[in-house]
Amino acid sequence: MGGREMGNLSASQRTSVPGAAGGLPVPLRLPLLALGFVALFAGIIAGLARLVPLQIDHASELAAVHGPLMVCGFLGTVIGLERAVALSRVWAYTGPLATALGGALLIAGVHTEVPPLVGPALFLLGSLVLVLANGAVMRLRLAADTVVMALGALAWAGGNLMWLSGANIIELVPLWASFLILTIAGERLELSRLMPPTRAGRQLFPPIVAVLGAGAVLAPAAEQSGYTLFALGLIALALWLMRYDVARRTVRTDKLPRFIAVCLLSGYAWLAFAGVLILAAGGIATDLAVYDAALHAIFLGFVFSMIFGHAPVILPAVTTIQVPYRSFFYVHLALLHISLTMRVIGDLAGIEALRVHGGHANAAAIVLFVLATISSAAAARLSRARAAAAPAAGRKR
Amino acid sequence: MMSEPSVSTTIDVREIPPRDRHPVIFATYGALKPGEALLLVNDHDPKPLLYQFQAEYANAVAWDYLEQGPDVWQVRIGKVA
Repeated sequence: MGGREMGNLSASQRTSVPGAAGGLPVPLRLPLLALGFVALFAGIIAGLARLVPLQIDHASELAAVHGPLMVCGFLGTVIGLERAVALSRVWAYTGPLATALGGALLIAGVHTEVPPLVGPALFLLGSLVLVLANGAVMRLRLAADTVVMALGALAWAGGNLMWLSGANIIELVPLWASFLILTIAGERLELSRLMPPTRAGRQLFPPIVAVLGAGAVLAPAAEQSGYTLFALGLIALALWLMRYDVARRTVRTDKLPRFIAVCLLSGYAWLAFAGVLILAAGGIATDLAVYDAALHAIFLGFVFSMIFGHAPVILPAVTTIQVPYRSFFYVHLALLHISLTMRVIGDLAGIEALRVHGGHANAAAIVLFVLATISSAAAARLSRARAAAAPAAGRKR
Repeated sequence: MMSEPSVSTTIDVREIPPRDRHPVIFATYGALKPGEALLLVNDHDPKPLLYQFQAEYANAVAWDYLEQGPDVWQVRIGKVA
């Protein structure tokens, strides 16, 4: 160890306030995150409204914006925030600001007169900022993973542009799905880069992404070939991740790294399933049952599995709120997978009750995740406050 | 005013075999451009690593905690621009 004294540290090295880094002060980030979660809750209610007739005002209008609230209002905001913190540039926060406002206006627009294009326009703006932010990272470090994440943001922007131009949301589902899938895959690729997969593995990745992206772009225009490519891309990507992700190794550790690995691997299984289903069905919207099953395999089985696994790491980095791992977290993860299995069986076997109960249990899983996260954070805050209040008390053993 | 370095890559140390951790961290840091940073995710305070960085890079390294336990530590380790 060197003999350097603390006095030689630069100002930034003396930083002991977590989150002080990141461009924008934490108190200003919290409202954006809060609005993101408002969009999540509204999105869940909207999803429930799609399952059964809900006795609330404007249920059908809210139901219509279930997808945009989840993908753009919630996920777009959280991903945008995470990227802005990493980039540590204030301008990057305009992205999640736009999507947070877009989500709020989408919800407001269900009840009052809001110009219908304002929400979609704000989402487009947010996605363009994310494209720029990812572009900035690319310019710092040009590599497969930074390119993949930038492509993901482009896919999101492309879908938003389509929506703004009046396209049906069904048509842009593959683009929105690609946004989330490529963002996650890029992040996993970045980690695996540090322990490179075999040369064959590294060479396989770009073509897989190309097939997935081509399928997403083609699907609105040429359904058959577009969805075939998209489905093949999903299957190939899921298999690649299952083969090369370090999660294969970390699943044998314990506590949080193991939990994250379980979330990842189970998510990859759902991604592969979605691909097989779309391939077998010849498309995503061939009938409502396939649509519901495939979409939720991707957005619940894959995406929310990722969210459950990464929340204990991303929330603290973005908000300085610590979320210690609890073995209880396996409960909402299990509920997610079991309820999704129920829902998908209900879809494909035509058992309406199973589908509906599965859907309700999906919502319960997400709510349970939020409650468990808050509980863990609160307990951590409490025990830290106690420790700070009685540092000399010591422990009598 | 010096702007903060931007994170362009994340290293989750928990996912790397122990013998590879030091080489991976320092190789990645070595490849950073000025103004660029890596985000280190670990299950304990990597303070000893800070001393090693100072020994090699002195004040050219920017060390900022984004999370400080109790389970996870996240440090933004940047190359000062």
